[in-house]
Amino acid sequence: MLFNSFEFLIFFIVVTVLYFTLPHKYRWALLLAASCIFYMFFVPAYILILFFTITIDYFAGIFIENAKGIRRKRFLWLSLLANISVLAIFKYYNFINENLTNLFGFAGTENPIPYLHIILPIGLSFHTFQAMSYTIEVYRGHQSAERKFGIFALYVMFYPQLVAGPIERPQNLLHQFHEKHSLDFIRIANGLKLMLWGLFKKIVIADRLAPLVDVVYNDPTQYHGWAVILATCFFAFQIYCDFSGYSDIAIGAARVMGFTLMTNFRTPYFAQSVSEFWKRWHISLSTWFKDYLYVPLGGNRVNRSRWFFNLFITFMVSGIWHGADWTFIIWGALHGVYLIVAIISQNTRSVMMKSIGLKEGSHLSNFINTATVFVLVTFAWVFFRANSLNDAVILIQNSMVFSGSGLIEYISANGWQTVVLAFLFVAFLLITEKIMVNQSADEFVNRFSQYTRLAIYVIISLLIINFGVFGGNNFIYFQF
Amino acid sequence: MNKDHKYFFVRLGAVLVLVLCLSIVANILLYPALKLTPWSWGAELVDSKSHQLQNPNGKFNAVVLGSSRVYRQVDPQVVDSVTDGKAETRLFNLGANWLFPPESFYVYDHITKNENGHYDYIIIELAKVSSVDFKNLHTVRTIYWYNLSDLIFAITASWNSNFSIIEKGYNTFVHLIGYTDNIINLGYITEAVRYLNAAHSFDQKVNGNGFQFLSVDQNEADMFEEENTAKRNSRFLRDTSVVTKRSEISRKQFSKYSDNPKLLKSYNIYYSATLKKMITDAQKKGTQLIFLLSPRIDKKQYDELIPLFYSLPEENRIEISDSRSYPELYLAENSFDATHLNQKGSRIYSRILGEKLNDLVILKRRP
Repeated sequence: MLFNSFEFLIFFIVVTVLYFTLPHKYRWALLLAASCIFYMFFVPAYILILFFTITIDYFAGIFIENAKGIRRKRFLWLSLLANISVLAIFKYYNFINENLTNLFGFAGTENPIPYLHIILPIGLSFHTFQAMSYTIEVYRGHQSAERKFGIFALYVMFYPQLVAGPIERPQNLLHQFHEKHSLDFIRIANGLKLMLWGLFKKIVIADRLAPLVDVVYNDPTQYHGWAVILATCFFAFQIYCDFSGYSDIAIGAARVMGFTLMTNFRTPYFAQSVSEFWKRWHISLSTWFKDYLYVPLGGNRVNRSRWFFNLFITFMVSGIWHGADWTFIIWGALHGVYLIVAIISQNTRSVMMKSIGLKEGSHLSNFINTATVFVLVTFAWVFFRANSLNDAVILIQNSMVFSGSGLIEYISANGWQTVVLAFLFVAFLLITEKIMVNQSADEFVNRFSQYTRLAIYVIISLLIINFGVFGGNNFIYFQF
Repeated sequence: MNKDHKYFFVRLGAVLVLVLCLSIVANILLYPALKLTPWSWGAELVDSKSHQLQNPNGKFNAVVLGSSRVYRQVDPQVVDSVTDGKAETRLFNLGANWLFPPESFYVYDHITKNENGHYDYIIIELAKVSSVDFKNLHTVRTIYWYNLSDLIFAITASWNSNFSIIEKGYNTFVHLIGYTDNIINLGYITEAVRYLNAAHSFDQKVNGNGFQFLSVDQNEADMFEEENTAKRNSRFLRDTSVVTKRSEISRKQFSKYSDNPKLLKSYNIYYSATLKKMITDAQKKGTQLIFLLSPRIDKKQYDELIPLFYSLPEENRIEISDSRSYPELYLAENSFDATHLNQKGSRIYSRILGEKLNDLVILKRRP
């Protein structure tokens, strides 16, 4: 079920009303049933995979807590192995096999390993990572094992964040299912405000930009120069609005029912460095990798070369997490390289800035930093969005060719009105986020007077209704 | 309910009422004044065809409109050749995929409103009041044509039909959604911009008289066929018995009513009254409005449509559906798929339609 669908609107209203109508002791059961229905709207049978990992991790948590010494570690590894195996089979098996086929091809033989004809379960990487964080935290002693199976299942399956996060930690979410949430209309109003803003970003901006990106990326040889550059910039905003829009709706929907989910985005395109970008983009995933991979590898408390290795590996794995394709691996690796180069060049950059008279923290220096980060991040998005590595290379080559089908052909193919509207909405987003900086939509809007707030709600609603794209477009991150 | 709760609902209500009022104002005043889109914009084929029909050079005196059963089966050239010297038609095919009432009535209203909109004959395919698949809700095609009178017709006709209570409830629900989407302009600007970008190439897509028979070879050139017709055709060729089943259904249904004419009295009174009023209004404008019962309808539709059809005046109805009378329209060799005729079949069908039109002229001239 998509957040931007009519079915979800009905589902959300019904579930929320029932949630507050039912006595506290039955609410978890309602949420679990609702989450099952929500998930089964995609491919019903895949709920069995979910229950497989839930069962494994539920018992693993209890066994880890009850065990002592080396046995604790064994149970943890068993749980991690089960989770990673599910990921490996459904997400990476065919990718690995495809690469083996290429290797066998080089050797002049045929790959005897058969391919699997399976569909990737929706949001698999999200709920698997959330389940893994539970067993790791129980092992570390930061979280006690959940004894109630239903509550644990709900922790993994909670519908607002089931298919695209935020990837929660048990310390933040699990205890909330035991707590009684009363009907708090201020909280409900704040949740609805977040949902409205998320819907605006998804329906009005992301889905409007999608065809403008697709036209270039689905036919990479067709366009050159500014057309490729513009489509890539549009993708930067499409993926941001799509994913942060989803997160806002998820956080808002949970908040309406009294649950607090972690912030997932904080105006990332205003970051002053790539490192800061990762503190503002998909925060729940970047902190997951930091806590469970980067720090255990030694983080930055090791020698310089090992530190760089840790950074590079963490971002490579982050790339693989996103998708089983070399494009994602290169995207992750690029970000790893950006961070390493940023560390190496830190002193040189400071000297350069001083030599041209640029004061650190000045408006101009901030602008240059933000623009540089945007260019770097957007360049990496080429690999993220391209349909294949070959396509990515063609697009990068074509972006530097300023002859042939360029901007004029791109605008005439899409219609100038479509391009102008896209520009206007991206500008609107940037201005709004610049004013918002470090505040969520509800916090921002609450600063205004009652009548200004009313006007904002009405204007945003009218923009969604009149300028929205109502085709039930999927969210990009569902594929992960 | 405490003060906070009341305050919340008052604010929520205020937002909803304001959004609704401003949307209605935009729907009634702003968007019509901007003239971004013509009346037919939501159905690409209808839009192209109506554009062509209203071209004064066309000089058509008759129009046939309905679903793909009209679009793919009524060849105006054949009809005109048969009516030459009798009914004297110069027919335009305004059929389009899934064009059923009330959308087809909306199209009828608009083509007759136009200054070039006088026609001697207008033939409308008789069909049950259409519903909307849940997955198609909020799409332009299911929004653009709604107005209050069409909404009232759709819901009332549905409640007066032989549908089950669940179907009636569902129809009411989806029509209310469609109408609400229309009055709040759901996605209007986005779709209008898309329309404006695409409209320039419309005229190249329609043949002179609006007809395009179904053919596997023409699929790629056929911009309007959303379903893969080649697949449909090959599925049909693998098992042509489906058309025999359709023939059997038609025979049984028509026999049921001819054997027991009392059953014909159980027609949808509201639907029939609407059609009769349309006939009277058309007559005042000098147009003979004719309702056409197409072949290969399913059993349930026959139960709704046969009594409705016979409730209409004789000179305003044409039936080319009974497999007992028209066995050639149920032969595999004349079929493209289970529900449509191929080019050969369409010629036979069009010839019959021409002859029926000639018969109606004779009938009308009778004192």
